[in-house]
Amino acid sequence: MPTFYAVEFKPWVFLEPQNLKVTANFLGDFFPPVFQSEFLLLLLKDAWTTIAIATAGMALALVFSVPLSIAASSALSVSSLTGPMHPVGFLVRQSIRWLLIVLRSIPELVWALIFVRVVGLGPAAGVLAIAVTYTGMLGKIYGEILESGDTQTSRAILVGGGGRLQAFSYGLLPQNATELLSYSVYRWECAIRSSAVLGFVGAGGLGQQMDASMKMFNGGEVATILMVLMLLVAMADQISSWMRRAVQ
Amino acid sequence: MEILLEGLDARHRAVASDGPKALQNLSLRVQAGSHLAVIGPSGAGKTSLLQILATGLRPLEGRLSIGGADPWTLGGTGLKRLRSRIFYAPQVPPLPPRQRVVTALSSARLPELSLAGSILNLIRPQFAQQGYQALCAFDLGEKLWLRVDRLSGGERQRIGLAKAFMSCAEVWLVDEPLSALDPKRSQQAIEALLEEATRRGVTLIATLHQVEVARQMFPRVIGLREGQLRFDLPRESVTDAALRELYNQYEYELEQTPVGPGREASLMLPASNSPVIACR
Amino acid sequence: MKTAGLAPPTPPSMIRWGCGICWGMAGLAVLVALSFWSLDLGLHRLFSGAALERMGRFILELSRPEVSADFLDKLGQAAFETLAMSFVGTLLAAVAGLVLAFLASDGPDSRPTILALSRLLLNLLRSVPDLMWAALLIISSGLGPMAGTLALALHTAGVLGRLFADASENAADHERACLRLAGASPIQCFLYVTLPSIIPQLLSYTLYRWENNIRAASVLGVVGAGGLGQMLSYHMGLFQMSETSSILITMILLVVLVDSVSYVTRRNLMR
Repeated sequence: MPTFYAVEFKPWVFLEPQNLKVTANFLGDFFPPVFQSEFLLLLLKDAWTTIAIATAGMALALVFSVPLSIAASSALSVSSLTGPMHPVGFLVRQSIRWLLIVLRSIPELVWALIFVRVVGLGPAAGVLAIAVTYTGMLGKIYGEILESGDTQTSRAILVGGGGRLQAFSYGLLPQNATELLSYSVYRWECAIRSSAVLGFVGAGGLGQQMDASMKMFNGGEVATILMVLMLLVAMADQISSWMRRAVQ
Repeated sequence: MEILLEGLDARHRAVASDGPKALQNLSLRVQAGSHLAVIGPSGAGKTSLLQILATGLRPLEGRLSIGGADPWTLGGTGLKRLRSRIFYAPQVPPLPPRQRVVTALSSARLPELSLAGSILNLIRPQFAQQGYQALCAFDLGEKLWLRVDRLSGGERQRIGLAKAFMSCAEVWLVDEPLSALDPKRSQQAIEALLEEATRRGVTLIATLHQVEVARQMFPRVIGLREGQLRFDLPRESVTDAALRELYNQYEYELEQTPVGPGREASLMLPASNSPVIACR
Repeated sequence: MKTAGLAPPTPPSMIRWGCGICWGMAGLAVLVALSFWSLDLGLHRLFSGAALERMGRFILELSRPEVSADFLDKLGQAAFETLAMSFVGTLLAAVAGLVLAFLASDGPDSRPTILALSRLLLNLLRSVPDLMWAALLIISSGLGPMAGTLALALHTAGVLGRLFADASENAADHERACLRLAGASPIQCFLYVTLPSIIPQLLSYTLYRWENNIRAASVLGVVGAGGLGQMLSYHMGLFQMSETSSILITMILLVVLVDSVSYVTRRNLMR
């Protein structure tokens, strides 16, 4: 298949002697992992930075994506109740959808690179990158959830003379609250992983530390960081599934 | 509000443009404050008629006038205001499962509330008293704070009717209000509805499968079949023969609802003189 | 008959101590507040005159994409490389994920050690983001798209494996019924009963992951794994904004393409 050829798929490269030696050295470096208290404390701080960047980014994303998804939702279109959608309404909704597509098509790392150029190195670039990308993602999924759910109540409110935001808060929101919450918490878990990665471009946190350790070929430190990352994700996963079960 | 239809045609949106019409050449005049029952076999267009009156369906042809104006010539704001004066209760009440009954009831007052007021009401229900009185009329007082998904189908249907009591509308359009209720409850519900409608002077139009209830409780009955108006008569003139003709080939749909034991005994309204709702 | 009193039943108290969701939401709110406070974000600096000016210049430079035939040719090759990376990576991940899911799903005859080990492996694969896998693999295999493909495959295998395992666990009752039939081995049960019942779901998840992986593949190049990402970090490093702009547009187009194909395929699956 041409695609296998295009990616230069030659896994036997891993088994070439000099590569094997490098790999063996590298893996050997992993043991023993570094467990000194000062390094662990550093990692703890980095872990918190990673979580904080993800949480702050998600919070901003929520602030922007909720109004955008409400505005883009055809479930709140009054004109659609009784006929084709009004052209102005259609244009507005489509433009917002395109904005969301652009926001999430550019990968977070690229946004982070851009923001690093504008606001400098540091957590702000990471927070903004996550905020922008996740606005696009959450906006799209919220829109899908709202439209695929039961719209009977919100349509009844619109036909009864209520406003769009009222139809949202009394109709769409109670109908879909569990699914919206469930997806948001799942995305927060993903944001933590994204935030770890963004550290590679200087946004701080575990990623930055791992980049530093790798550049110094300190396999032990890398191993410890990987373990901390696993623990972090497991913890977030646990909180996430607990919250999702609580809203069922 | 007076309602007037002249030569009205309508078709469901889901039907192709050369498909059958839901309503054909319908003409009807309803005085403000009157009560009207709409009967007919399945597919007669009863629900479509209510949807037309609720401005949930656009007519194809003919003239429609609600409160002296054609709703489809009003602008967005005018139509919204008109809609707030009409209360439509579909057969399956639109109640979000995880919402509390008190909040679901207060959604009938949304057109009168500002956005801030609506949000406040979500956090702290402001209409508990009115909601309670509305529910008591249907013998559901103790369900005020329960979640909708804890209630049976019959209870939900009665809550859908109780919503009418909460609204400030001048026209009540009720679609099959008794379909999920047993005979005793049906009697209570329809009496409560009519009592309050008379008290407030609202125009009440109800579609019913229970033709006995229609004949006994409503002063005027219209019969629809296949989208056309077959008769429009005062209740005394609705003979068994007329009914048989209307329901020809659909006789199994004719439900005989026996009248319940004594109207006075089943009244559940609170013994107060204060109005249930203080509308603008 | 009941006389109705004028007093409605008492509402439940405003604070319900047993309400798990409320505590969760309160906890999240505290977390958000702490996050903003502990990070020295200086978002006010973002809106300072200098920053706005820089942003303005940036946007201006990006608005003139480079469209020379030579460059477009290279762009096309890089785009195909990125597409191939995402496709092959997702494909390998689906196969590996299926195997791991079989081992990691809890059934009537799964052995506890294999279950625990495979779950641990899945968690490891999932937790480490693809970029990190790529960085690690590059050390062993050198720069180039293969590291990127394998990194995607490894991470996605973890994600898909977990999703597949959950799905096949929920279909587990089929398995038990199957075992009551004449001596079918667990693998046969899986292949003949469980798998067919969850294939639409599996395909749907895989397609959805492909949408995600095309974005991931674009950036893996930043650490040297080839494709559009490598071009991007090269040109951005040299401050060549018009080339950067073309690359970004190509990324968006690629993502939109994959999203649409995935969406249409998933729609057709549902019919």
